[in-house]
Amino acid sequence: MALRYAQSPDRSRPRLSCHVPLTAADTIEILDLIGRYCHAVDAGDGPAYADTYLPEGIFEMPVGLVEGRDALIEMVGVIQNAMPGVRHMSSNWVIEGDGDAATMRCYMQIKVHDPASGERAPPQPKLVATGIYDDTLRRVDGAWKFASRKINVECWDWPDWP
Amino acid sequence: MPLTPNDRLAILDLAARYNQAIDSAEIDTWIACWTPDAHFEPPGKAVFDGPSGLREFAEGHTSQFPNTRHWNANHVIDGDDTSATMSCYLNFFGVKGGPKLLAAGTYQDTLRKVDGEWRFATRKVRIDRAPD
Repeated sequence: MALRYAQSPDRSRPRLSCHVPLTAADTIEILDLIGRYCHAVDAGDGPAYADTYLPEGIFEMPVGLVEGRDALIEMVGVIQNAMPGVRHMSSNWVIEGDGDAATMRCYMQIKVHDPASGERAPPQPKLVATGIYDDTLRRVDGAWKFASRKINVECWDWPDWP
Repeated sequence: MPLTPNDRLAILDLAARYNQAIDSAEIDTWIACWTPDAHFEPPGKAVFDGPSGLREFAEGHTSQFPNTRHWNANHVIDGDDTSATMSCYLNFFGVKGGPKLLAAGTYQDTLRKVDGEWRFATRKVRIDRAPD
């Protein structure tokens, strides 16, 4: 898995030049986007996952950056192999923005199948990580997309990133 | 006037900011989520009123639980364009040395719109108990 080690993108608040506040529809679309994001990565659907980003979208982890559609699709496969039963949950969405640019900070948890479940069916859930996302979003061609997501991992009870 | 979609989104936004603030020990931001005459009943017997009472609670809570995260779900909101009630679930997680569910319960809230902004007027936390 190719990771780029580079300077983080600028996550400062979007410029408040046009002063068009986010509407209720904007907020609901962004909440829908985070739902689709979690469903796609957990279903192992790389193209659907990449569709939640702009083509040049960036996912930043403590170990490095994953940048661009092809790399994002590849990352979904890596996650599926490394984390059987993976499920992302997010909450506490605080969205700010103006016009066609927004920032979001939200919480995240990751659950996997507990390897200690053995042959028991169904596998027992194991909560392995929590973190806080700092995101930038842009509306392009009428659709909100992630420009960048940065995960600040607070705890990680799982083998190291592959 | 009934609650609008904007009112509901603003109340959900308030609950999210509240959680992020208390979990990050941003006490001024957390107090700003409340009305000036706020009344808070956290788990236990003590109650806390107004900004000074809230500050006393927050300083104690953030030093007792420095690595914890509040998660809410199942927000049920009723009201009109000036006051509302909300009930929601709480999962309270520790994040030091691996995630762990420390407590679960519900909030019973009342909210008021102050200068166009929704604020918590009262919050009562009930921790889930095993049936007797």
